[in-house]
Amino acid sequence: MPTPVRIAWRLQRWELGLLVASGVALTAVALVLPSLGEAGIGDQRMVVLLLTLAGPVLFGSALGIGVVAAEVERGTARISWALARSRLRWLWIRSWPIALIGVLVAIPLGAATARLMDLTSPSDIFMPQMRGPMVALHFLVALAMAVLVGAAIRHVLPGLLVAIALTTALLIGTTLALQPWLRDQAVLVPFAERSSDAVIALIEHAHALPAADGGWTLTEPQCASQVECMTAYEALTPVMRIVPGEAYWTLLAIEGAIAAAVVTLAMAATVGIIRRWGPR
Amino acid sequence: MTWARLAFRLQPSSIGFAAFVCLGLAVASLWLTSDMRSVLEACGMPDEPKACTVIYAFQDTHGQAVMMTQMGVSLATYGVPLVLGVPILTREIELRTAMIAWPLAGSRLKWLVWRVLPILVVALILVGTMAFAAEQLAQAYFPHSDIGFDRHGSRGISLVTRSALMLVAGIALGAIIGRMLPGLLVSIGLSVALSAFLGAALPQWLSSTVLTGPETEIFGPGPLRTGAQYRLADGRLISAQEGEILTQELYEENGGVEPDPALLPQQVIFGIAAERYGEVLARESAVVLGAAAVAGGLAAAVVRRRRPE
Repeated sequence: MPTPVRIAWRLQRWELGLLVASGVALTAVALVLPSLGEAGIGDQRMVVLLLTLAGPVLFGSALGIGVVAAEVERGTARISWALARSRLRWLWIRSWPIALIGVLVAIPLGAATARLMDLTSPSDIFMPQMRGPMVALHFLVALAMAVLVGAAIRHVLPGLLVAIALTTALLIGTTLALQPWLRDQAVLVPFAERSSDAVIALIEHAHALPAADGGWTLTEPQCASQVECMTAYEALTPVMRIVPGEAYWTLLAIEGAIAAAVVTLAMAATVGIIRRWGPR
Repeated sequence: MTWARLAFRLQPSSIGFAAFVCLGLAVASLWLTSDMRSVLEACGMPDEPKACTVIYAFQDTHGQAVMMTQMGVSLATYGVPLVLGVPILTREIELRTAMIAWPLAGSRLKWLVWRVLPILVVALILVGTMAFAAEQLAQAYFPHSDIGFDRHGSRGISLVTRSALMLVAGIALGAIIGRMLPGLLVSIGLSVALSAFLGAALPQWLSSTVLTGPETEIFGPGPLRTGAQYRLADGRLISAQEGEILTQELYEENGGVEPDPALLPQQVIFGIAAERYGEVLARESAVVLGAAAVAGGLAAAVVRRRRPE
């Protein structure tokens, strides 16, 4: 086992052990659920998907806060920073094994939840944040943010709470910022012609009229009474504005670029902080 | 107030976080409650709002905000006690202050009681305030119904008992593990398991009976619905799936026209009526508080035996 991995394991064996154990358990459950038929589609499926969404943020933050804040709080930073060739190198050696282990756990989990979604309800809106490589991206963002917050606050518990809040806000903010792009990718599909193809997002339910080019034109009928409205809507075709599954890889590339930028900036800021501050 | 000052000095971030979350959610809940109740003041007037008559009175106007607030309360039910409970012992062990504090205290048990009691009081005050506000919010959202089992576990007494159990379980896990971050992670896993267990156990506290009248409606608050069957004309009960197949066959035999209602199997809904919520709450609370006492005993036993390394 390489020395940095051994050091990471010895310093955070509880956290890493729990990460690996819960990741493997969740992956196994996600793989087994589709074979249970109806029983695997209900609440159990939702619990697995919600844990896949929350787990990377939680473990990334718990592991990241331990890198700088725990060392400072325990007073060991004084020794390890003095012994290290440079603080930048120390940070790199402390961080990469955790990132590697986290990614190695998150990639199979993301693949298992993607398979779970595809097999149990392929036509559902498939929540890109809970499947595929995005699970690993969320872990890396949470890790980098927690390392930065830990370096800034230098206390484990407040740092952990702030890191979880910041990462959650960042991930929600990214999702909201991508909404205009998703709206641009959306296509109109008549409700009756809805296929079992995957859908990234359902923008809205609406009513439309056939257009001259073979497509659809959204229409909102003007009516004064309920009876008048019902008659007006009967003449229209119910449609959905959806983002088709093919947009997933573009969305992944955009989120990947944002995640890479966040991780780079967070690590650069961490280096800036720990280079200047003397250990307490 | 020395104990309160000492508790705050030892755990400023935990208590600050708990106060911010609980009081913030309580204020949000009470504000939404008063806003919804103010709408109903116009009931009985010539132009009374739609909210005066329908079950989902505030679904369109307040639904989103109420849902977000209730989700926050559900998370805080488990999150706040863990943040308060887990660090009590883990910080002392991790920072090695237990090595000084335990030999100096005459009895470790007494030391534990003095460390836990202030936090428990603070937690009960904060969580109790949030639970009261969440209860008001749940009742205001369904102004025309007995809310019965709706939002059980995320309001009122059930919220306080669950939080108390998680606080004591967090202290016990902290004593066993001795490290804060792993203690928090394991406690979060335990809270997920506990929430799932209590949810699954809810229909078991009382035996289900046949629901009648408005309680058989699929939507809306009130009773705890545990299952559905179909009753044949001769009084025999068959499963829901068999009943649906039989109904479909009768329609097909009749050429798609509704058959004689006397021949159709009648749906029977099983569950626990809303007025029996108090009994269920009492039984669950007794078990949860009993589990909290066991967890407290476990924490005390571990602290008595543990080496303060």
